Amino acid sequence: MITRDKARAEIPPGTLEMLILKTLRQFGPLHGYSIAKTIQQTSEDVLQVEEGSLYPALQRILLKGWVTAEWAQSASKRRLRVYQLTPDGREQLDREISQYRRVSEAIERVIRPVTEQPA
Amino acid sequence: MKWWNQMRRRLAVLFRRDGFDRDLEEEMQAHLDLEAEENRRNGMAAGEARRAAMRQFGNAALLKETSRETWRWRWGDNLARDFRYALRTLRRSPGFAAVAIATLALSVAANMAVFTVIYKVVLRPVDYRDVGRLMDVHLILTEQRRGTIPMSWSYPKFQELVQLNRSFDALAAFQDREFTLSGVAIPERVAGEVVSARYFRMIGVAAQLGRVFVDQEDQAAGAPVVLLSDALWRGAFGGDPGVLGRAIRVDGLPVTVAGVLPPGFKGESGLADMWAPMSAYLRQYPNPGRGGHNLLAIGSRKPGVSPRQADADVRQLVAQMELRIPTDPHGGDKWSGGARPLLEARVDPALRKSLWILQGATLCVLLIGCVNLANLMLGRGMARRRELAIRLAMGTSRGALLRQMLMEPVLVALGGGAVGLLLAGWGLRLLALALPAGRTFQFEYVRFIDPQTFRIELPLMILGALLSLGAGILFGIVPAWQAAHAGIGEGLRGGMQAGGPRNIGLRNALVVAQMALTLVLLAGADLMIRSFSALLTTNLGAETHRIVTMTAQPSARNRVAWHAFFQEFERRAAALPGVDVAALTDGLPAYGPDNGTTLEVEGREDAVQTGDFAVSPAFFRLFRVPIVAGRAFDEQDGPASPLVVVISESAARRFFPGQNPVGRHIEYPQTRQQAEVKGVAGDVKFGGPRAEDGPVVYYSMRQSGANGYLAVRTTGDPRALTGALRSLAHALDPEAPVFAVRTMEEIAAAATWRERLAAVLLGVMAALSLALAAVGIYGVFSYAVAARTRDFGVRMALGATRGNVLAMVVRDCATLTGVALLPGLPAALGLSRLLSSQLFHVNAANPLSYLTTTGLLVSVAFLACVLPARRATRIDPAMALRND
Repeated sequence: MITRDKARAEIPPGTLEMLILKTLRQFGPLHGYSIAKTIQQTSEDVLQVEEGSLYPALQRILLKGWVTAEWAQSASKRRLRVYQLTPDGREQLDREISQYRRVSEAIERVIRPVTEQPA
Repeated sequence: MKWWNQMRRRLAVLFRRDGFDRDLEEEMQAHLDLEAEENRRNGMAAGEARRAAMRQFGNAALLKETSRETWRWRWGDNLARDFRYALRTLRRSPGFAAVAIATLALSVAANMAVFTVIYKVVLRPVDYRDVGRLMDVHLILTEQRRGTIPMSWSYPKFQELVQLNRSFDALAAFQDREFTLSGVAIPERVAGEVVSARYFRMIGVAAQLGRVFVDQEDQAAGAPVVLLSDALWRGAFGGDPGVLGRAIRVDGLPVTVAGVLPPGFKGESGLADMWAPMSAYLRQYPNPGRGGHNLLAIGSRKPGVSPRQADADVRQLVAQMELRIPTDPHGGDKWSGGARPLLEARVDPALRKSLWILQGATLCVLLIGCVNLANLMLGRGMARRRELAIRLAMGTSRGALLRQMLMEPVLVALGGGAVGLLLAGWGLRLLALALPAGRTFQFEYVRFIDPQTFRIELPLMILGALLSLGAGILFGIVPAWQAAHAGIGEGLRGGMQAGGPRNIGLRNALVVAQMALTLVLLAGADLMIRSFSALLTTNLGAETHRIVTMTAQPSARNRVAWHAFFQEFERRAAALPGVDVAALTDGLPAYGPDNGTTLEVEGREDAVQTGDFAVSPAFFRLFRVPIVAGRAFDEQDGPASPLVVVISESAARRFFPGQNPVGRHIEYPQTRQQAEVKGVAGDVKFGGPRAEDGPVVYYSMRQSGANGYLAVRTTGDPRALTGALRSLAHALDPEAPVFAVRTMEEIAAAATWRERLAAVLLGVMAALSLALAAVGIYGVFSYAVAARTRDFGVRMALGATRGNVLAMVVRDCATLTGVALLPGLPAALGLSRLLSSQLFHVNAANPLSYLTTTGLLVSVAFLACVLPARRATRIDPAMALRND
């Protein structure tokens, strides 16, 4: 158990929102539990969402108007709150992804081994 | 837009907070349940599955709190923090807080008090339903003697108006009247109105008890009924509901009480306590003529008709009526008509203007106070430069700092506003004392509004709160902005000397603005006071000392008995110990109403218009009116002897220019009655000190049989005799109410109340602003001297004398004052042009006025700067140079 946890990485701060938005774009409307599971599964269990922290993040993007929430009933008659991406959220996701790419490429350039740099 | 959407979502959450919490709770629980189910499916025991799910989830309570936090009103929290911070800083400088709050409280209170009067008198004098549609419908008379004046309707003309009318849904007529209510403990004279049945329906007032009038009661045959005001019902009838249907005696006749009107309702006159239907009017005037103009009219505009259209329509209708039956076939007078919004119509135009001018003055005082506070704030900002610079350097945003610096003045303003609202109640009481407690005479029909009913109502309180908030932001914004935008490095280095010329310049500009405003107020007050004192010293042509006047309403229903009552009243009053002279007259000096009449004069082609009064022989002796030619009336001028008149000097000049009027004749065109001029008396200003001396014809009360006032000149205090005089009247007729008991001095004072109000209040405002300006000048120069300590030290070390230093400071002050005069004097002149219609015997542009006010301002400025300047001369150069 402990060893398996160590193999997993904490999500870098500020990227959780992006992951949520991306997940919603890819899989359509989802409830909190399946958002958490989906992130874990698509990252092949590398990214570990402290599942509860999903909820403050969901509240933040609700406030910004990037997602809407609606109560729905599951097949097992359970009431579940389902989140859906809004057009604003779609735009925001694009912005965040390109921002993330820029930053990670920059970081990549910095940490690339010195020898590989052109002289 | 985005900002707004977020705000909306936040508000939505704010207003269903438990909904939000429940949703979150349920959502998290569902998550835990699903997780636990999954764990169980993976083979865990039920308890273990649940515990694992909770571990995986994290600290649920903390997460809920974090989620909630997202929706919190961050600026609300910041505001609360700034608020506490400002409160702390203010508590550390109680002197500043006290001065600031007191300044604001006083000026806000003054503004609130004046505005409340404007609100009650000018803006919202009545609370009728649909008052915006109601209009005063009137005739307009243009005559040579008095110019153009609005006039009331005669009964036949009003009937024609109702028939021809196109612009109004309904029209109502009414007339002010006084009733004698007898059969109660003391016979009472009650102010009231005779109204047509439409009146109450039109203004939307229903009876609180019983009913209002019905249409049948407009007819001559209508039953004799009256309505009572709430006050009269509670006063004279003890609030007894059994009064309905009861027969009471009004003007000696039995009438039935049909209803009681709601509390506070005093009719269009603002004074009424009793209402009678038009049937009462028709009983009083069985054959009303076209020329008996004594009915006022109200109309409610049809939807879709604009006030302007209604006005034009009435003008056209009256033109039509005049074409058919001219009111004045001989020419001379021109009759027209019009309509104006009811809310504007019944307001005393002179008072309205005075009040707005006064409001302007009180706003000026507030502005001047704000300037002082802005200066104080600038000084505080300077003292805190280092602290603010450190906070900026530590990363506080300038916006946050601005907000924080603005919180302090806003807090002061709210405190000042709250104290001001309390003070405003007192201010209003004082102001109410300066307003007349009853109606005063004027040509236009003015609604009386009882100053005792003035209250600071909720909309006014909100306005006051906004006003003080605005004042706070006004005096806080510049210092706050400056503090928040100061250079960091400069601030960190700076001591007092780094204060910078920009700051001094700003403060000087503020003082200049303050002095200019003060000059405007001073000039205005000076003109009003001059005008008022000119009024007070105006010779009325009649002496007013130690005279008391009153009238009574005998119960007798015929003129002869009535006349006999007054003759006897005069005779017995004259014999009363302590009475010097007693006389009867149907008009009083300075009281106003004069009954105009048209005369023909021997040797002249055209008819002349003149005021006319009936007086008893003692009148001239009582008022010490000189007889300049011929003789006054005597007891020989009786009903049997030929008709005689005494005319005023103005009348003599106008009717008989360059001739001796004594022995000449005048004739009344209606009756063809001739009268011989027996004497010429000095001019008396019946219309008050402002009135022009117009022609007046006196005839003898012994011959005419008219009635009016008993006037008594006493040897001692005239008020002390009123009891004895009342008993005289009651002995003559126990049913006769005695009323309108006033001394001539009260009457004369009442004639100038508007001018007194303007003079006193503008004087107070000007004094207040002068004091504030003095404080402002003192503050700025104290600061400037402190800031230049080193400068002065160097100069004195280099040989400047104390006199040189003193002169430097005073010169600065003189420059500022001079600069203030540049906009101040033209602005004062502008104001005086605004005032000129209110002025009496004072030229609005008189140089003496501006010289004295400028002189006053200059000397106060000098005094205010000389104290700090003397401090400058006492600087020890050695100390100053060492001192940072």
